[in-house]
Amino acid sequence: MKRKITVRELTLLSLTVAVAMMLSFIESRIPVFVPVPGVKIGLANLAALFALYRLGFRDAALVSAVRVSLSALLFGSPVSFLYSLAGAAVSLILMALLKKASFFSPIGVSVAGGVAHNFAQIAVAALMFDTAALFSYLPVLAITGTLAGTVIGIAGGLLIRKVPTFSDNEKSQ
Amino acid sequence: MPKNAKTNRASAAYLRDALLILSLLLIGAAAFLLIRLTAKDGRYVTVEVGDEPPITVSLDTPAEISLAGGGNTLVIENGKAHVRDCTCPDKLCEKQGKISKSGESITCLPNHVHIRVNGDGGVDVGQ
Repeated sequence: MKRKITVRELTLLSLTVAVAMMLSFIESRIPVFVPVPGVKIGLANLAALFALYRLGFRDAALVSAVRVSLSALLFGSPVSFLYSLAGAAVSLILMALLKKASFFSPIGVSVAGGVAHNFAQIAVAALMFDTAALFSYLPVLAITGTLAGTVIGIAGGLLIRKVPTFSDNEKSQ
Repeated sequence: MPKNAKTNRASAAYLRDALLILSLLLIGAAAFLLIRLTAKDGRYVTVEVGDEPPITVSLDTPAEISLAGGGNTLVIENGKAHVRDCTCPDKLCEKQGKISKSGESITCLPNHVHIRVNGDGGVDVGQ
């Protein structure tokens, strides 16, 4: 299905990618205090959440794909690219399904997405190291992922409501 | 849709959010405690670097082993293992501290190093 993209949509899309990149960068500068690999705030998930609710799944996937590729190029490595890609993909798909089910508010959706992101990264690491021992990090990640997801979900919920809709043909759902 | 029906639906969603958050926190805490409480002292660590075959190191004898081409140093002392002098940017592997309980592990993702404590025997060399 081909659709025409308006200049407004294109601009909003580009802005979202730019903000996502900035959040990724800020995230990479924040030291982590919990000594478990994978613990993070997931600031870039804020952009994914916003894109999912305001621009739709396809555009959200586009934003995440561009963000993950660019941040791996700029401040990552091929390995970090794999982790980010797995995390972002699994988390976005789960968030899209949960949003469709409209069972949770953006907060619950973001929490599920955050935890799914952590779990996907551990799964990739377990595959790469060929060991199940890494799964012992899951309990800690479930807790930190939930807390981070809650914060991002509250912020995201505000953004989704407050950022003005400045186009009459913007997809609202 | 009447306004309060919408508000009701929204607060029901928030309630389910809260339930999700609480249950994830509880499950995480319970699983964490379970793993901690059931762990026994280990006698060996298995060290994997990238795709190389794993090596097994005894926790009984103090040692210093250079890993990943000097990217990490594995230190064994007092029956515990820890990592120092890591070249990775976040030093998470160093912050993971000393490990000695069976099942505990130190992971350094940037250098592809994974160190795990095993119960007994070095039987799983090259598993």
